[in-house]
Amino acid sequence: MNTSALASAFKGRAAAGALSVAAAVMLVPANLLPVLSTESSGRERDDTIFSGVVELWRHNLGPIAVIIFGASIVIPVLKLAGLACLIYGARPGGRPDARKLTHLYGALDFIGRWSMLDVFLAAFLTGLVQFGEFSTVQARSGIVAFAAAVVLTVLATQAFDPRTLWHETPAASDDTPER
Amino acid sequence: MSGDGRFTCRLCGHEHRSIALAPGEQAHCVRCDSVIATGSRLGPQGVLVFAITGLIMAVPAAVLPFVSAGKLGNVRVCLLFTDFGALWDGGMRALAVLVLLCGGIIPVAFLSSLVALHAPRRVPGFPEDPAELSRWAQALKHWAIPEVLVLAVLVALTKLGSVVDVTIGPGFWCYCAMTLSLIVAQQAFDLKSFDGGARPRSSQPEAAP
Repeated sequence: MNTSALASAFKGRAAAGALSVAAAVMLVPANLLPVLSTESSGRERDDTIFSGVVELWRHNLGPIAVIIFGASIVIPVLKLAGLACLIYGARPGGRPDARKLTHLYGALDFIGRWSMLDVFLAAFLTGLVQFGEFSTVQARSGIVAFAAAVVLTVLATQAFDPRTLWHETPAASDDTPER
Repeated sequence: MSGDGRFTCRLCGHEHRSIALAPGEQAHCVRCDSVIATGSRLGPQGVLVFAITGLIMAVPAAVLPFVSAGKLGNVRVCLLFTDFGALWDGGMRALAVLVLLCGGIIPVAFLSSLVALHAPRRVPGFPEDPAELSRWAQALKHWAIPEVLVLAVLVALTKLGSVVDVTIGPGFWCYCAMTLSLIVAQQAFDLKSFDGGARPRSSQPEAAP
């Protein structure tokens, strides 16, 4: 199967909807299960995404807490909401504001990758902080669910074809791009 | 660009005739208003130069020390793929593979596809057809995210700074250089192949780039 055939097999509003629903389902364990386990001087602590953000905030690492909160909680939720708008707007017989939704698609396409921040962060900490009895960090199952949610949202964005938003809109008569 | 020199907006499907753009000048789609081309500041070989630079920097990034951390006399030196090994050994193999792919293998594959696409001659092991190569590069582009890994490392170092002694190694700086090269090459590539279609290897598009 060549790349275009492979791409077309996973294209369309239905595929984007299915992948978005799957991503939404995966976000539940991603936010409820611990993503990192830290053991330091005999004390063990499990953190979910949100408790990790709170802990960073308490330790006066506000800017980092904001980055993690944005990348791991706000962006996935915004992305799913945006995908829902796109999928609803592209329904048969719908009269979407194609221009606005196309801009929304461009924004979703750009921000999706930044959700991988928490996955890379957990992986890096797991690799680096291995000091035996003094201090260790282990990734937990929540991060696997979160990574799955991020991958599914990226796939959902790729599956959605923004040109379907323009089917009901007459083509512009001019063919000279604006400068 | 289609065979008759017309450009199709990838977001709305509207066809445009090609126009000449000055360096830095942007062309917007008349239908959806998205940027469909920008006049290149790098010249026709810019993508190739930055893609090769990125590939060269990827080698020391992978083999030189990335970050070292010390606590109570214990020093741990990490390479780029140490986290892959730690996750793999911890039983999180799917996550390990995802990190390895998005942070290491796919960026290198994307840079390689850009080199193959813009090289004056066919590169062995890659498809002959520029349209096929361009589709490969477009597909890889979404998953090549070294800049996110760089940000994650910086966040981790800030977080750990007060707990352990952290030293950034040359591998990390080489990885940053690879990331920067990839971003520049990718931007120039985006502006050339906004329709995701073919571009003759030997000629330069008329509109942007």
